[in-house]
Amino acid sequence: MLKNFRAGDRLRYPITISKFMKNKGDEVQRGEALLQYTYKFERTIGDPALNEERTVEETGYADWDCPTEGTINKWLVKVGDVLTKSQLFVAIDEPCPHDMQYAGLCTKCGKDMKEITWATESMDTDRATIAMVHDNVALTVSAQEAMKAEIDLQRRLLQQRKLSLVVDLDQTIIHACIDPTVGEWQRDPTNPNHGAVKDVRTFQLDDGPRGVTSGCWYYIKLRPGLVGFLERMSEYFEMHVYTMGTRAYAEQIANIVDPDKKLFGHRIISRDENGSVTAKSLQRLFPVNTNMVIVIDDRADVWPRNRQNLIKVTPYDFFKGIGDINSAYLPAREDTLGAAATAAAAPPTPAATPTPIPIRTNGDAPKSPNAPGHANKIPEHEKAVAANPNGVDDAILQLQVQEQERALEKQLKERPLLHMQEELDKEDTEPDPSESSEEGTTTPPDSPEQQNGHSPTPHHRHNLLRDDDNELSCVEQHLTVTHKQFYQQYDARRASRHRIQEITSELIPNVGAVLDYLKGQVLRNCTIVLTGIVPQGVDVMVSEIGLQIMSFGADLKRKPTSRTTHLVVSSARPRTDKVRKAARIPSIKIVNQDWLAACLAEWRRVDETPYLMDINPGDRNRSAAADDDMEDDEDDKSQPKANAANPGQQSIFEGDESAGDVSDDEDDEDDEEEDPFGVIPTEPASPVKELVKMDWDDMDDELAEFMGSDVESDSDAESLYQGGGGKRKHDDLASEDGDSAEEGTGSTLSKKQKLAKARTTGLRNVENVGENGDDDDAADAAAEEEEDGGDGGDGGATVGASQEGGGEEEEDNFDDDLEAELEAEFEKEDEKEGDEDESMED
Amino acid sequence: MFFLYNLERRLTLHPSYFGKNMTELVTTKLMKDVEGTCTGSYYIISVMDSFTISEGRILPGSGLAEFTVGYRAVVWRPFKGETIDTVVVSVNQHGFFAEAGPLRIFVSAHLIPGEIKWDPNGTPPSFHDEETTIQVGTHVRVKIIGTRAEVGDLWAIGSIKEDYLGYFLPP
Repeated sequence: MLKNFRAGDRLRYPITISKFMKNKGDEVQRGEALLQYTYKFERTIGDPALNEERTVEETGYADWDCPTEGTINKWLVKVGDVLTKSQLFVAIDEPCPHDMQYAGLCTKCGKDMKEITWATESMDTDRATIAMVHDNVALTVSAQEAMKAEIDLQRRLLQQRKLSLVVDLDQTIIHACIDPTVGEWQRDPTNPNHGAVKDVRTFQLDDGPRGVTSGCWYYIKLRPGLVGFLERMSEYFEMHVYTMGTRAYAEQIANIVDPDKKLFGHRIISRDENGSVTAKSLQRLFPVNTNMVIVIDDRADVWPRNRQNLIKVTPYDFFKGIGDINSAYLPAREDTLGAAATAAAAPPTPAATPTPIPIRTNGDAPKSPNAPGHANKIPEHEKAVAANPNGVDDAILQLQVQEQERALEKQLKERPLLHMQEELDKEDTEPDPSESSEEGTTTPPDSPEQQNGHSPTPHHRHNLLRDDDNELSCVEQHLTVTHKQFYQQYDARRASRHRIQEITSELIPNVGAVLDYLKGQVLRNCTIVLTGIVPQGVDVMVSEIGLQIMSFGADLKRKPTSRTTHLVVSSARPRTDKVRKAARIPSIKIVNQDWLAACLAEWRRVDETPYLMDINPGDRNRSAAADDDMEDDEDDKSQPKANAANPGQQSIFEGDESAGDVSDDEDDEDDEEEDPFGVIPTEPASPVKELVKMDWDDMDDELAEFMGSDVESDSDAESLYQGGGGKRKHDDLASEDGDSAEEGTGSTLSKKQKLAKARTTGLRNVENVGENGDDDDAADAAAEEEEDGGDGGDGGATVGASQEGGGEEEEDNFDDDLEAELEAEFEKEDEKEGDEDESMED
Repeated sequence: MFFLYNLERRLTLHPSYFGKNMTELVTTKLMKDVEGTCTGSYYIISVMDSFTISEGRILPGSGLAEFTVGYRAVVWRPFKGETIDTVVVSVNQHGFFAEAGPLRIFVSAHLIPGEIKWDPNGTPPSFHDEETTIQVGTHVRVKIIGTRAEVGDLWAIGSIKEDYLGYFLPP
């Protein structure tokens, strides 16, 4: 193996080659003199005492010693050459290239690579620096050897039409915990959680000195559908395990998941062989190129170099509040979407099952902000447990081990699961309002999946653990699609140059680019603003969730503008500044974070309707027109669904307004109306201007429809009218003793807002009638009419009036109402407002 | 290769152990301390007997008693060129790891006969030809072609690319 050697940096340049001592074809040993050279140097001579010191230039003679053994192939310099710096010197044919080494030994010739002599310019160990086998870091290869191995691998995979798939363990395909409570539940068939935990697998692990946690039982829950998933994926992928757990742990899990070693074989890499304690890297396994590798992991931040190849899955959180038992080895989780989702979650929220089973999510999503009573309790436990493994950021393994130790011990001692179940039981026995709302969300009448989780018990205890995860089917779909795309591209490239049989690297598409393309289609043309999701002080653009949104092709902005298409609101904090701003802009769909989670999990732009936030009426009044415009724009695909969902949606709104919590509404509303006084003068978009943008044709249609149709259900309409207009009545009463003489700019504006608000429901119907008019759905139309009947009285009239440009009567009325209302409520609102603002403002 | 080797070691004993069975204690401690360790060039497999236990000397300051113990032990030193029987523990595309007691030996694909091919598609992946399969658990006769020692650890490179090396039926 030919290798060129440099002269070395330690010589006294400039040097002059004076004589070759070995010639081409001579065998040389390490340390043998190969040539002689001369160099000039200055020397001080003379007697310093007599002041006769002077420097003279002298010539030094030296040998150049051979750094390796072999046969001289060629001298790269000539006698008489003057070298001013290190340069290529001699080519020596070595018997062994030492390109694969094990713990400082060449694996081919068995020589010690750590030997250093005076003649060696560079360490022999530098010839092989890449560790690329799964289970050993001491075995290293040279870049060349790595490339060769990788090309072999790629060729083989292409032949089998496979790709490489790197699979994470914790919270991706399994969830592990060591809380002994699980074992107790498993043995107790009467426990409500028995059904969920009965197929939890266990093993005992003793990896190193651990104190309390030594030899404790690990409880492993496989993600639902895992066995089938791996089975099917193994046809398309060669699979590797890459975990931050210890080797022993990883092997135990592999034994459970893949007892025959058919799926993963011995392709398991754990923390012990990873090389880095904080990050995973595909380069550890595929040092040359990662064109054919896909990763599935629940954390994106541990793959800093390989985001392109990553399919991020929703973390599997079966044992609530336990988290990742190996997370002490990773940087603190900043994946706030997941966290926010669980925070908002009583167990069966859409976040826990981001793939909407339509019936459930429809029922749940709008309610989730309304039922936080139970949800608030879990996060506290979660924090207690999660705070421990998190917060470790320095990569000192020792610290991490201690941390891990502590977290595990804590889990053993404190038994968070038991606590949570007790909490849940307590709530069951004490019938309180929050319980009833919780009841509503946990057991919707028709959700077969959840019924599975319940085991029938006499006194109906709620179960903490639910086995209703659906993520793997999504992942499977993504993987299959990616695989298909990849090989389509590959085939196309091959077909284009069929003469060349050799597989070259240009022929192989980059699966990362394929993934980028597929993901980039998902939220293309969306401009997304987040609120309440990224913690304060974190730049949304570099936050985990922000990066993810951008990788899905959406444009992420800090502030809502007219170009914004979606505002994603944390359901835990539904009324931030941004929400209010966005509510005024017509085209923004205001959705909760579950919509985003669903999009990211399913890789398609999920229909927003079930996720639309219940905007506070106070915020809504200014956005009334907005909703209509927006829904006109809705793409055709989601149209039927939107229609189907809208009646339900509307009935909720109607219900809210007529539910009798009028005073509540007014509290919020006044709060809102007073707030804008400072804002409105600078706000160019007044509600009236929005009227200009409105689709008058639609309204005409609606009016015609309304006039033409018989108002059959008078009583219904009446009651609805009373319900919907309850506030109005109240206002009327107030106006009687109110002072109606004042006319100011503020009140005029407010009046106009009021006007706009009064139209809210009417306008929503306008749009629906327009839509329904097209497909002439009799049932829908009837339903609409009923609702129209309720609001038509004022809605239709208002539209008519404002269309004429006058509407004096109405305006007067509103004026009176408003002034009176303001007067009456002002003082009592003052205090409340303070509180509200504090809690609601960002 | 195994040797009977005379060695010497200094041991300390806590004052609370001073008593009539001190000799026994010292011997026990010696076995616990040295058996199974690697000194750098050889492994101490087993202490045969301890033949001289010097008089204890109290260490100034700590009160511990120090004994100098001469003992005879079975040691094992792998030599370059030696042939040993091993068990395969891990296989990858570059070769396989085999263990002979405490020593882990790597046999690279270059030093495996050409007819034994790497088959990455097998479950589990293995090296094999018509008759033999080298996978985890296989008994393999290996010739050591190089060793390297650091304090407390030894590594070796092996070869099966010679006659009578490679797969063998365990006795």
